[in-house]
Amino acid sequence: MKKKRVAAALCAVTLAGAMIAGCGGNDTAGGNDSGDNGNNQESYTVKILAPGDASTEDCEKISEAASKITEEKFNTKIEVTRVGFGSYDQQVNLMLASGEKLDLMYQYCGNVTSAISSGQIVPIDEYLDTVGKDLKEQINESDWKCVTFDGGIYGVPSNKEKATGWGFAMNKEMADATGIDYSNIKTEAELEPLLTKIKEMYPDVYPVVSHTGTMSLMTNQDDLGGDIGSLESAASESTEVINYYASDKYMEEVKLRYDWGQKGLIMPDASTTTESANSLIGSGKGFGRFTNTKPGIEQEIEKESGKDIAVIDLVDPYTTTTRVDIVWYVPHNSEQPERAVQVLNEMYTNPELANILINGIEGTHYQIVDEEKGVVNYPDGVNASNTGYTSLPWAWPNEAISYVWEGNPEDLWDQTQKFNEEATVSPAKGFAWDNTPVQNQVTACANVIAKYGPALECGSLDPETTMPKFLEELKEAGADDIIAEKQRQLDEWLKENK
Amino acid sequence: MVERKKGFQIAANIIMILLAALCIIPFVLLVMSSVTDESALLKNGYSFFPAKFSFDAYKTLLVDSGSIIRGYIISIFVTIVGTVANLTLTTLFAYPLSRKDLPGKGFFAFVIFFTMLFNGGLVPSYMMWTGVFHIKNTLAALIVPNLMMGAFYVIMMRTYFTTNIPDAVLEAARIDGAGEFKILLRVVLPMSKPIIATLALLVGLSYWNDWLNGLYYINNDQYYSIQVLLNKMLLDVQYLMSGAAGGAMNQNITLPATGIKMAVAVMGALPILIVYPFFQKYFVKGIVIGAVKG
Amino acid sequence: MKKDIKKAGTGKRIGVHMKRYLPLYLMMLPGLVYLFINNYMPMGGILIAFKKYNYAKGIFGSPFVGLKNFEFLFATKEAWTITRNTLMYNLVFIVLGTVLAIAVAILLNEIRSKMAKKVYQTVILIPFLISIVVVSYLVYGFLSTDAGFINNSILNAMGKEGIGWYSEPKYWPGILIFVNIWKNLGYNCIIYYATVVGLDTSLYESAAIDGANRWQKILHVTLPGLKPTIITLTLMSVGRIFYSDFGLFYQVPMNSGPLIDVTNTIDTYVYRGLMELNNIGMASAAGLYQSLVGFALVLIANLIVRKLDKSNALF
Repeated sequence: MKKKRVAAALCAVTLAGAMIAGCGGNDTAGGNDSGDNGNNQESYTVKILAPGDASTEDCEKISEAASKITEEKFNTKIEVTRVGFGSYDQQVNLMLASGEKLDLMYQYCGNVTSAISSGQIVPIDEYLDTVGKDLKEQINESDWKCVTFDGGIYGVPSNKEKATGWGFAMNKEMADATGIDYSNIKTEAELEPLLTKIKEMYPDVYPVVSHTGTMSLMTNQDDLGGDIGSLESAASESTEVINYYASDKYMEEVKLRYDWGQKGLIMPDASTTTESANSLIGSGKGFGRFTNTKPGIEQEIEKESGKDIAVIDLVDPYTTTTRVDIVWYVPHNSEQPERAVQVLNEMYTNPELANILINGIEGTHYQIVDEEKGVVNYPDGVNASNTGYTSLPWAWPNEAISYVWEGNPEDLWDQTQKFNEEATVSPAKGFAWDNTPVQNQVTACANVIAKYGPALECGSLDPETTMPKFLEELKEAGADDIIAEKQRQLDEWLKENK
Repeated sequence: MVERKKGFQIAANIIMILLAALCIIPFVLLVMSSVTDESALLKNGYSFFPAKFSFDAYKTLLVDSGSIIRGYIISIFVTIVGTVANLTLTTLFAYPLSRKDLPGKGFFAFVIFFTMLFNGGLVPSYMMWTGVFHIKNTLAALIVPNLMMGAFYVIMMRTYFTTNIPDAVLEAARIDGAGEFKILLRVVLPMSKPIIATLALLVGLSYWNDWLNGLYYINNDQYYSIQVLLNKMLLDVQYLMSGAAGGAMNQNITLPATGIKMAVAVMGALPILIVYPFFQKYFVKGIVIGAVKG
Repeated sequence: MKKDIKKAGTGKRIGVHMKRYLPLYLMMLPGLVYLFINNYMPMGGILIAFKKYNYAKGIFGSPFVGLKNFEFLFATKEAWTITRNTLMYNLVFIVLGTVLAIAVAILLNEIRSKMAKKVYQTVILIPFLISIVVVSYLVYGFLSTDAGFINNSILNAMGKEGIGWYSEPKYWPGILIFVNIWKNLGYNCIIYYATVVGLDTSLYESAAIDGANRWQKILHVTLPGLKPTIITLTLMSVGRIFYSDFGLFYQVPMNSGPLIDVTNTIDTYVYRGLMELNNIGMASAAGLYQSLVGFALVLIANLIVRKLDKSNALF
């Protein structure tokens, strides 16, 4: 009886296998015979997947408008599909696994090495030399390195802010009311008098609030593309990989925050709240938050919180591999990667096309407020929650050639450019970490960090008693293996790239 | 005796009232927080008596009332069609399994139970449903995958049949010359109203509440059911909070306010609460008139 | 019934067999086809657990890596904590959940007023209708340190200090058990209630004639009548004993670090670990491990049930 059951089960599985192999078999296709440029190419449709909410109807209109440009030039049609953030990863995963046709996709903070080793994406260097010359020229060397692995280029870094600083954003009205001159504050510890004064003047207000249960660290460590193991400072020349959680800098920061927590300067439940910091500030319950800094950050927080915001810079802008966080890939299921790169090149350089894809159709999704300065806003009756096509400039290959939305500084793109250029470059920028050899340790460490990290960083745990346990558990989870492996890969990379 | 009975009724009712209160109080809190002014909510916390009322959350949700209405229509359609299909498959499968004399019934029971424990995962299912059956972005995607028959319901129904339909009844029907389909239709089903009503309710619930099929198989907003529509918002928040998005991106996306999350929950649950009492007449005792006694 | 078959001549027996049971097999056919397509065909995907999955090569083209994908589950001593948590919580859920659901179902059945019955039934189902994500917000509404209902309106009113619920692990086993039972009681209750309602009324009548009081009726008629359902439901829960409701253990405690020792289960461990890796091989390995353990346990449990009472066994 048992045997029969097993046999039946096996039979089912084998059959299933045959079926799946049958339907999944089309993913290796992709005859790549079109070498010529221009509109004498055979017709082809480039399917683009981008994040954000949009109605299918509007996407079709935009695809049509965009296709007008690309059909004339390359005899290529464009088909845009947008998927909300919450389901983006899931849908991309399924599309990549099932071999559904897809030519270009957006990826946020994806680990390029794991995308390569799992066969999700294809190298594009040969096409960059033929149909992607502008890309090759306009993107700088250190950014290319971030998407280069084993000599092949695997993606196109999006042109947005590619560096970050850190700072403290606060309700300007309250800060001014304290009479304290906050323009001289340079470090996190120096914030304390200001926060204490706020606490005195507004007993109902929490001087520091967290953002959905996390509080950013005011550090310029370079985490070398994710997981444990960092360079202590992106600004120093040292390329020694350390456990940042074991560093004095980390200890000092979490001690300070614990102290603040005890003094009531940080909101209770900081590490568990689901509220966004900006709405806490907006409701008047919070005074300030730690934030990343970049051009236009004040306006961004102002827009969300509805309060006047001042930002104190605490960490100077720096750039690392992790900061090149939005990359456009050509997935393995593109039938003609060359045509995909050709369109990507156009998206990066043609303002007309970029504007259609980013902002939609003039009059329907946006209207021009100031033609000369290139400023746009929603048409009458349209707003962020009812638009059929959400505008997320940073998610596209090149926001800098698109219109600026009203409420931002008019010269936002120039400022961003300057910001990128002036940022300190980490000595390890371009190094892409491959965590496959230490995956077990990575999963174990992720669990330990979830247990202690956010709570320590929000000042809810006493570092004196917790730190030893934290470090001990990290050690048991194999943090040292990860760090050693990272150091080995980094040294190798440094040798090749110096 | 009469007095004791009365005493028992009072005690039983008190216990049930307490239990009901336990269930309904959080729901009241949910409704209240969905109509609380956002900054009052953040300032004073959740409250049964909001300091300031605001229907902004519902207004925001209803801005695009066209898609909300379409969502409800799709949900209703999918729930009805899916429930009927599921119950048909389930009954047809459960009845033979309940027959003690059916050769190989252990094997078939195992075949269905096995599916409860093992599955090939999402990726192969997705490949098959989209690659072979092409259901992506169709209404079938909301009905067919996973939900059309489940081990749990089949086994529940089988257990009910074995316990509540006496062999003698079937025997009597057979002697009258009825075939198996006729027995099922004329004898077994009329005796099974409570379990059919129960399963209809549970299956209906799983169709109504389902948004995973929508998440996997639908990316055309014409086919969003109400739960897909509502859950998308919660999902976006979840994603941003999971840390997968990192710090830098968060500020570029407005998180839906707490009130909206609560309004979403109310709008998803309310229709069920309205429909539920209609199912209950089938639970009322006395509807099962045993054919033996008849 | 067996007599019928025996009466027929041996030569005719198979023919009679076929004629007799063919309609029954035909009835099962649509279900079997559906199971085959929906459940068995994709089972080839179990192979992913033993492979280094490569998107371009597909399930069958990817290279085998043996049991490597399973290693991470047992890599640290955390393996013990998550196994213990998963098992213990599930055991409590099964036992307590069943007892309470039956108690409420019986109580509901005893209540006379039809109107009251309707109201109770509708109301106790409410928690089941609220998604676990929203439940987590509600729990937060009650437990949040500064604005929570319990600290704010109850403890403060009694002149007590508020409690930092989200950093005190000792309260959480109780909270999680409460939330789980609260959420699922209505659902389980409906199932038991349907069975109670369906019980043959003549049994009660004859018990009444024998002079049985309410408790005796419950003890001697209702509970034995519920036995098959109890056994079936319990066996099915045993099969899922290595799984945990992710939302309950991740979202309800708000992913709070200090609570992780009492809230980490196999599912949350895998989620936290794989969030960044996005390795579907390891994820399938974890799922397969959970299924296998559940499968083994359910086979054993079913064997025991079979020994005791064949008709109640699952298969």
